[in-house]
Amino acid sequence: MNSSGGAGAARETMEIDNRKSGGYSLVAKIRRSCRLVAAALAEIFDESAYGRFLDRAELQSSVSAYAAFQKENEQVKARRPRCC
Amino acid sequence: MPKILRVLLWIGVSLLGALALATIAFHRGEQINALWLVVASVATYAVAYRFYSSFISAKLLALDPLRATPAERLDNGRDFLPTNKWVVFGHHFAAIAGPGPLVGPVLAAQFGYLPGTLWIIAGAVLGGCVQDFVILLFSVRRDGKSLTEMAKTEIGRVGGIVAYIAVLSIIVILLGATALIVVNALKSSPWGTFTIAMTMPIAVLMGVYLRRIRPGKVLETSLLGFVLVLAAIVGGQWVSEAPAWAAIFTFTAPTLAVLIIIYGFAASSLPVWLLLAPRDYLSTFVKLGTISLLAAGIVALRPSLHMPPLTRFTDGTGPVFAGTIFPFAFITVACGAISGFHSLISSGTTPKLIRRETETRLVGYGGMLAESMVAIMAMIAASVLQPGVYFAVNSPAGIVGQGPDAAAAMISSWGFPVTAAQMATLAHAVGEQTLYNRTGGAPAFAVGMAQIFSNTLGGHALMALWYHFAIMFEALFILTIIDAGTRVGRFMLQDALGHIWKPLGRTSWYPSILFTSAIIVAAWGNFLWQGVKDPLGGINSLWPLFGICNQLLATVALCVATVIIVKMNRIRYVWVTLIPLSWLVAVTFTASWHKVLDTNPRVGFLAHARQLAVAHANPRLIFNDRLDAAVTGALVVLVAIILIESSLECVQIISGNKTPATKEAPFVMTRMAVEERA
Repeated sequence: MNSSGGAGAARETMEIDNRKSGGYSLVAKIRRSCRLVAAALAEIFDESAYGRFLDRAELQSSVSAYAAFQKENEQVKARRPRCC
Repeated sequence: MPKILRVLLWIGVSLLGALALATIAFHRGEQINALWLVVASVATYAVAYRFYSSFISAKLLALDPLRATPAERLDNGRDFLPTNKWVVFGHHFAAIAGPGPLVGPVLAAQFGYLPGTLWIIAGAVLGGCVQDFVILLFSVRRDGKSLTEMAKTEIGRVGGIVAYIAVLSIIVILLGATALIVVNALKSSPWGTFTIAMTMPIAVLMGVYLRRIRPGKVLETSLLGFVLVLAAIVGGQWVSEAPAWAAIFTFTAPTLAVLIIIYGFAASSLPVWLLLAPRDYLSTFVKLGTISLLAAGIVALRPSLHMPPLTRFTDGTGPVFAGTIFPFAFITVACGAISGFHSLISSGTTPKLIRRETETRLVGYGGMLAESMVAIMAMIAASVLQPGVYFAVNSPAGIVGQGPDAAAAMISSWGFPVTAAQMATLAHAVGEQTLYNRTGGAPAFAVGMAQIFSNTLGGHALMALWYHFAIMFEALFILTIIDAGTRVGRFMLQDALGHIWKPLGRTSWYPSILFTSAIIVAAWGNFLWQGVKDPLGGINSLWPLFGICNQLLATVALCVATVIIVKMNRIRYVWVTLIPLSWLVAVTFTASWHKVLDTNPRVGFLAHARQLAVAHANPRLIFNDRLDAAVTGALVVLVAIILIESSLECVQIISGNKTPATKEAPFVMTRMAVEERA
């Protein structure tokens, strides 16, 4: 998986580890918060969606792979309502 | 934390909120600090989230953490994907936060800061958050179905058609109303026009960079675009000070309207990757950054509110828009309190990402609380202005008269002193030729935001830069709505026309693209042109019309939610949606009645048409008023039909004449709980 997909997996693992250990240290909390913000931004800006596309299609990131991703995503993205 | 401490903590938060609310409600005669508004809203939101949303989760919706969501059951790595709740929260907030919660409170501030603030807080907690939350959960339980599909399956075929027409109408009116805000913000403003014009080549450059040079690196590309936009803001100052360049970028309102109409048509017809997607990314980046910066600025500066809690315009004679507090304050605030448009997001992409039912509370209820907080910040930005300045910026020339001296004298005679020299100094400080008659809310918000920013960072010297940053932020925001909205409207029209003639339904067939884009652009372009040409109409007519449409859509959403609650056999708790539904029906139907039939020409469309006819005015203006009246009347009739159909459905179920049968997806046990236990 690319960076965004990797971040997602790391996030899940981290959450379970932390739950098992019964809490977070301050540094771990800050690191977790930063990762969450980065993951949210990656989701908002479709970087995660591109990572998932590369995983699913078993492709490396390239101009043609991104063009294929955009073509697949175009209909969904263009139909997505934006609020007032 | 021990229970006793938790109890004491929540008692403390509640008391603090009550004290802050009492302060803003009962304080008279002296200015209050903006932090009172922040404390009142944050404390109320905290209590509402902790207790009211928890009550709705447990008693009304019975959220089930063991029930698999569509994101888990239908996971395809594309639309359906189980996602961390905070990531979904960010995604949802970025989609629901638009220019509405910024512009609406600024316009409503003409009544004083009190009515708008109280409605933002109460409307969000009891109405907007409830709507977003329940619609999100009901969509999650129906495989992520849209509002129109839910209306069709739960209420009936008519419900589906009405929801569809309401959505299309709101998109068209929203586009006309918001485009007018951009026109008013940019007319005779070479700095602002240059900066916004530059965002188009910047967006194309971003599109090419993203597709050809650094595929998929959207955050990096957005950062690059952001830096270029900042350079365009700085460059705008040079343009405005160079007479030859300033002349090139100085446009009248009609010229700007034509340019925006051409832009809307082009954005709807061009490939998504070239213009729409990069502008959307750029706008999102600027939006999230600016909202965070404004929040930090308000907390750091703790400004005083110069606007009184209530102004003399509570009697309905306001210059910004005509009409009394009830119903027009509730219509004008719009998205900061409740927005029907949110129900489209809550039943759009968000339900397909929710990992567990219990997370709908944070995303649906919590997301709207965050949006409401943005509206509170906008109210503060408007209220930190001297009231005389606020009314000079927001009042149309048709009300305050032509020329600085006449306008200043008129506004001062209302009890809000302002001088022509004061306005000239302010205009010079923000790098504008004039700040009179800059209606629409955006310029007033920009002046307030620039005051807060310049007092926090950079001092008075940077006021012009912050002002144009704020104008750029709002215009960029709105232009993104225009290009995306035109495209969404085009798709909806293509879907509908495809039933009449199949080729028109093919979304990538170019004749169909051009034809349907032209229809949508003509529809909102007509409203825009009307706003530009009518000296007494403009935002005065269009914004209430948009507010009515948006809240009628919320009425449809709450009707759907109420019918589902009755079908779920939760009649005991039906008041949770029935109270906001009843309030919205009272507000929207009363406002519609006033907008169509009120005898005051400043309020009623038909009275205004009659006045124009007597004065032998341009027949086009008379036609516009009659069109507005017809659109408002038609929407009210449609929503009345859906209300009647919903009521009949509920009565039949409650009286036992019909077996309740919701269209929920069957229960499937989540794998996540099993995996976590292991």
